[in-house]
Amino acid sequence: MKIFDLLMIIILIVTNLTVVVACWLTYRKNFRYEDGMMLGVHIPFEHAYDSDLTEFCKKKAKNWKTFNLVNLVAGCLVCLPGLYDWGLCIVLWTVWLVAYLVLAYYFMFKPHGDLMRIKKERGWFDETTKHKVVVDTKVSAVSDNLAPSWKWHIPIGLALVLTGIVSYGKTDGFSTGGVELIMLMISLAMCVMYAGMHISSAGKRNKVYSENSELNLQANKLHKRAWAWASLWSNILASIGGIYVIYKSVKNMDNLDNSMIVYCLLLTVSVVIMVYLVYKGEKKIKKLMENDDAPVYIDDDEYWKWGFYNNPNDSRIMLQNKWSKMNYTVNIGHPVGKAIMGVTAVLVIGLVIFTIWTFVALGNTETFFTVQDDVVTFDAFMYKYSVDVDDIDTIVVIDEMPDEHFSRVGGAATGKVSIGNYRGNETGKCKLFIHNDESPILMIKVDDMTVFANSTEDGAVESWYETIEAMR
Amino acid sequence: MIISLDMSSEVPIYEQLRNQIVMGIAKGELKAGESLPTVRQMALDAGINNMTVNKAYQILKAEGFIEIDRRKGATVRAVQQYLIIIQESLSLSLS
Repeated sequence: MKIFDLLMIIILIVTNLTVVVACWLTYRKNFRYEDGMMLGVHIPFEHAYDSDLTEFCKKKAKNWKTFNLVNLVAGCLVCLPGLYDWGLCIVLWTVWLVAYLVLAYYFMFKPHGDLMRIKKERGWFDETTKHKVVVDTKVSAVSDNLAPSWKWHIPIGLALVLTGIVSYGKTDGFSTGGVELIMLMISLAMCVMYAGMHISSAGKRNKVYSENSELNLQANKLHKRAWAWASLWSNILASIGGIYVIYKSVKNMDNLDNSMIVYCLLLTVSVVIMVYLVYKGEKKIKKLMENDDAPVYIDDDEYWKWGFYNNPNDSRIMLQNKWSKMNYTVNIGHPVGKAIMGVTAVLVIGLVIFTIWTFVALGNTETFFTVQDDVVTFDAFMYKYSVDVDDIDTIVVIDEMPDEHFSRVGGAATGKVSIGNYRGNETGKCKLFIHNDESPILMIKVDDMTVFANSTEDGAVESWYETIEAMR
Repeated sequence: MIISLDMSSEVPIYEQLRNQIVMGIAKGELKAGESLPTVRQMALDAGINNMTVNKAYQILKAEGFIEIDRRKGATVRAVQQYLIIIQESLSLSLS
């Protein structure tokens, strides 16, 4: 087993544990009475500690804990097949992740529905506040100045553009394989995304927590500043990572894998900083409100069902999630909200199906060799390479791949196959159509490209060699 | 000042907005020279149309309770000016 495979398994396990722990801790607090709510349901204070409600929440909290403990173990176990078959590992991981999210949804929002029913039966809905909207004029009047300007993202974008221009010049129009261009596009897209996040968070509706305008001002300032700084720092770190990869690629100073590790580390740090800043902001707001003696209470439970906000009369498309103040959710009562939810659902389901299909197909792929009009074609999975026999410089059958590092530039690989565009430290640009555990391998040199191909079929490589040699 | 709008009330929203701002001025919750939110921001925070807020502000301006400046936005007028305006309005009504 290679070090790389072990590293990938560790990364996957850490990812799974992070997902489960984050989900567990985020929703854990909903089982106790906080901010006038329990399980996302507004409960009148005088009934908040009724024994039957307390017992109900305790039982559901225990179920939630057990569910997450089981998945901490399951999240580790699904990664173990990666020791011998990455295709199987990814398929299992995808299935586990989908199952975990679906069941987590059930364990959190079924109790919410049950408590809503109890609330309705006991007549605890406050009809007087249901249709009320409150605005604090003091906060609204200074809303544009509550957070740093989004324009701070412009210099970051300009730095990326400048890097792209210099890189284009140094490589005479970006290198073949397009690492610099791809990384530039990704970094610019992320820069625009973070700037958009900044603008969106700063432009959100101000929230009225209390009758006290000073408290409202401080709370809204904390919230908007947290998101603004989180967006800025994330953008800075992600862009530094992108510039670093482009620089290393242009200078040809390092193989791509090391640069990508640095990039991934910077992205991880940016996410951690974002989560920390937003969490710290919300914690400060909570502390601020602890001593508030005049909270504003609006019972909008009618619009929250099964974790979704559905209010056609509310002009907001995105609003703060009441289960987790660090998150935002979509108003599916708004036409744009419906569209966002629909598109997201299609993309997510499509991605899950595509991932499973990809790795099942990869695990069963075979290399196809065809000859037509003196043109030889290798075809495997979604990659194809054709070459005229007259352009072939050398062709030889080797027992194993050259002893050097091959970086994947564009392609697919599991423990069993390596297919697509690669770059060898010594060989340079190459195309791989390789079953890793099979031998021999056909090696074809064409100008500045080298092709490596083999098959699971006995004698296939020798047959290809003889066919091509006969045509030359 | 906290403005509370009832979306299910038969009283039009612009009228509720106007009434609450006048009440706020009368109670001293909105002081002379204090800025009101821009039309856009008020509409965003209340979840209502810009035109609804604009209508309320135009009524308040016509009644002399606020001034609207293109650069500064809407600001509450000084108290003495209200008394003069009220006197003028009463005079016009009586004459």
